[in-house]
Amino acid sequence: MAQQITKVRQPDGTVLRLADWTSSDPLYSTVEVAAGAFTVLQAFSYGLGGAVPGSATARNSDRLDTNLRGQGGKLPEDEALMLHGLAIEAFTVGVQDGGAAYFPVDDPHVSVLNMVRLQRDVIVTTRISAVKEYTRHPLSWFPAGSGVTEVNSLGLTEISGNGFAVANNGGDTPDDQRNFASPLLVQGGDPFTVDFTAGPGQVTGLDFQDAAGRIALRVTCNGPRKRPIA
Amino acid sequence: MAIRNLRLNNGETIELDEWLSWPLFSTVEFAKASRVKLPSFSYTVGQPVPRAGLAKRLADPSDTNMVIAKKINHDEAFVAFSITYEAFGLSDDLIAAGPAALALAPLISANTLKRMQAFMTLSFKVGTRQSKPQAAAPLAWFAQGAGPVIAASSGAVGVNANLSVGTAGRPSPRNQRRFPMPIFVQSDRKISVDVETPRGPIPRLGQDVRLRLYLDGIKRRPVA
Repeated sequence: MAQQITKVRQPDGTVLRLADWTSSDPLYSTVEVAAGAFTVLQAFSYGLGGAVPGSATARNSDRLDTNLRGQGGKLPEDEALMLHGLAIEAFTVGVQDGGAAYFPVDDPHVSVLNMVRLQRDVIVTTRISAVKEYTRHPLSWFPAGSGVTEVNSLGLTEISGNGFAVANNGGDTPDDQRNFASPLLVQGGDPFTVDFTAGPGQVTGLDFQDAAGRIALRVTCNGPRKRPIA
Repeated sequence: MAIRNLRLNNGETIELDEWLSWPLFSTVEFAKASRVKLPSFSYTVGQPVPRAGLAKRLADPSDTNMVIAKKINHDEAFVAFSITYEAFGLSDDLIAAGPAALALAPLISANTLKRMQAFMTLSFKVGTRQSKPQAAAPLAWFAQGAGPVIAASSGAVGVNANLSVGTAGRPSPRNQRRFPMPIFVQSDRKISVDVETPRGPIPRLGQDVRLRLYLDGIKRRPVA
């Protein structure tokens, strides 16, 4: 039976461990923000199958929410991560968002008012090894780097047939992503979370048509990641 | 215990430090009819936000990440690459002729931003009683590196609510104007980015405004 070579012992006795580094399988995790007060929502605090923080029904995550293996709260022992930046996307969960001031927009778009409220109030704190903070900056500092470049001519929403105004968390192309001036190394087994808090204690004015409405924030780690080779 | 310095064979000692990407940010706020002369980076969370023409408000973590007021902490240093900003409406921008709004808070109307760009200046100063700025220009010079990218249908977007919003360029890190020479700020050195309207209140400004300024750069902090 063929077996994967995972290490090579050299003549002098030193052992080289082979690893598989890739930047094509980025690590990501999701939290959901509701209207009203919250303390902290921690991305990467749960593994695939664990409950999504902030979700209306504490729903179990699937591959659209996260690809983190294990119990969460740390990087798996056999992985490592060179963190070049964070890219944070926003999606409305629920039927529509907004509505009190401007017409509601179709989910999963985020209305321009809700997006600017999030950018104004949400702070993103990256913790590695639970000792130091590696970011403490507003949501807007970490553009999505993905999204829809829209062209509209008398565009209308599907549900209410009204005009709309939507917004993305920054630019919608990979070139719009923000890279750290110096990358961060997360070693296998290191405690690692990305915490979302609101400066005023809540996202002031966040507005949904649906009482269970949420904004899902999916944070993706930009940079190479070491995975086991077997 | 962390290794904090290395002594070489020749007797030289190398101090180990951690430099990391750590932009500083700070907020000021002003009423539409006020003359503005406000020092940002002059407070920490829990202290008053510099405001002109508005009631006192204490800063929360979305206003600033300064750990000490007005200066770089004694065990830190900072290298600034760029200044950028975001603006938020504290009030709606209403159309003079009717009840309709151009931009509902926290959106900033295109008119508000254009008038700020025309009549507001930023001056980044380093050191005590320094009158020579390290970087200074009208607000229009400093493009917007963070913010929403907005799309709207061509029809009405709300009842009695029109839409006219603006950003200083398409918000993106690539849109930030970088200093040709980075600016080094030594430990314990005073810093300020002064926000001013030299001609007095900005003519016909339609909104009260929150302006969050960023000094994009790297910070040195102790390794232990």
